[in-house]
Amino acid sequence: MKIDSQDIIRTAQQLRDKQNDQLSVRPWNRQRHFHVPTWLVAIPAAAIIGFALGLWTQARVNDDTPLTALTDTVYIKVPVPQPKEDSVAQSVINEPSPTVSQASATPKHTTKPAVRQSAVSTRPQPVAGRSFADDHIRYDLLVRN
Amino acid sequence: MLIPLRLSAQTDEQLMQRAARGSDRAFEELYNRHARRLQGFFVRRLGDDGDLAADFMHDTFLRLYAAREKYHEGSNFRAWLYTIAYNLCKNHLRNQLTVVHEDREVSDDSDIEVELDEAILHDALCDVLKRLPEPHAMLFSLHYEEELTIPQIAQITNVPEGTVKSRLHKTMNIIKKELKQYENR
Repeated sequence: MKIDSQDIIRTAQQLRDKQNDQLSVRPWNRQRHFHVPTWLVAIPAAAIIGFALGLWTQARVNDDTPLTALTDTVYIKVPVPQPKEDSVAQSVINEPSPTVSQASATPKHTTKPAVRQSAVSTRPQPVAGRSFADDHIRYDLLVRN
Repeated sequence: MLIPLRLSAQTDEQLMQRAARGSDRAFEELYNRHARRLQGFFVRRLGDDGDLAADFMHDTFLRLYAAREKYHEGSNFRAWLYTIAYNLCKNHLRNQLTVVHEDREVSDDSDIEVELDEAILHDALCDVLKRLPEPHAMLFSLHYEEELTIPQIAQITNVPEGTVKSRLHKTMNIIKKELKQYENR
């Protein structure tokens, strides 16, 4: 086949197209840097810095103050029990009991029953149905326990 | 009422004007149109180095982007683009110490007859173009492969149009002579 200039040009262009098709071309935007608007960075950054600064200054204040200033002093009124006669125990002692009446009936026993009597009289006996004392404590329950 | 044209429907020069006024989308459209072809030009001119060609192509567009505001209305976009590309190539070849044969003596015989099979012509021309000396290779590439006109090439290479024409004629004769060697293979 006879080759002229047009054949050479046509073949050269075919070679060009073949070569160009095989190329991988990078997109333009891969080369460019992505620009974030300045305000979009500045505003959150200022907020974060302000918050951190606030926390830091607050921490400094707390460090400087003495420990006593950070705690509240609470005064508690402690009730002091008044030394007074135990009316319940007294009433138990004064209560006439069957043993005491029997002892008074038999005058033969002089010494030993007296000891028993005193033991009986000192031991608190459970008394049910008594009202609250002035300090609102049920002493009868205390005695039982 | 003026309706703005879609970017793809605009000419290169219209897009370049928009890019000069600050439209990045217009510039991106120009890139999408010309990047592949320009990268191919660099591949052929820089000796099949794909990565280097890609870098040069990007460099060309980055220079164009940097100078976009200097674009004058009415100037040809492709001529401007290939002027940047040509200068990059020239500087690279100069740094590579490539020997440029200026106006090699070629007989002005325009009746060189070559007979080759089409299948052989492909491979033979591929070899011949790779071995083609400068500035003939550059002129062949700009005129026949990149399809730039002779006035545009004259503007790009800063050579008179007549010189471009005669060099192109010589280039074709060199190719034909080289191809003739493949006749009896």
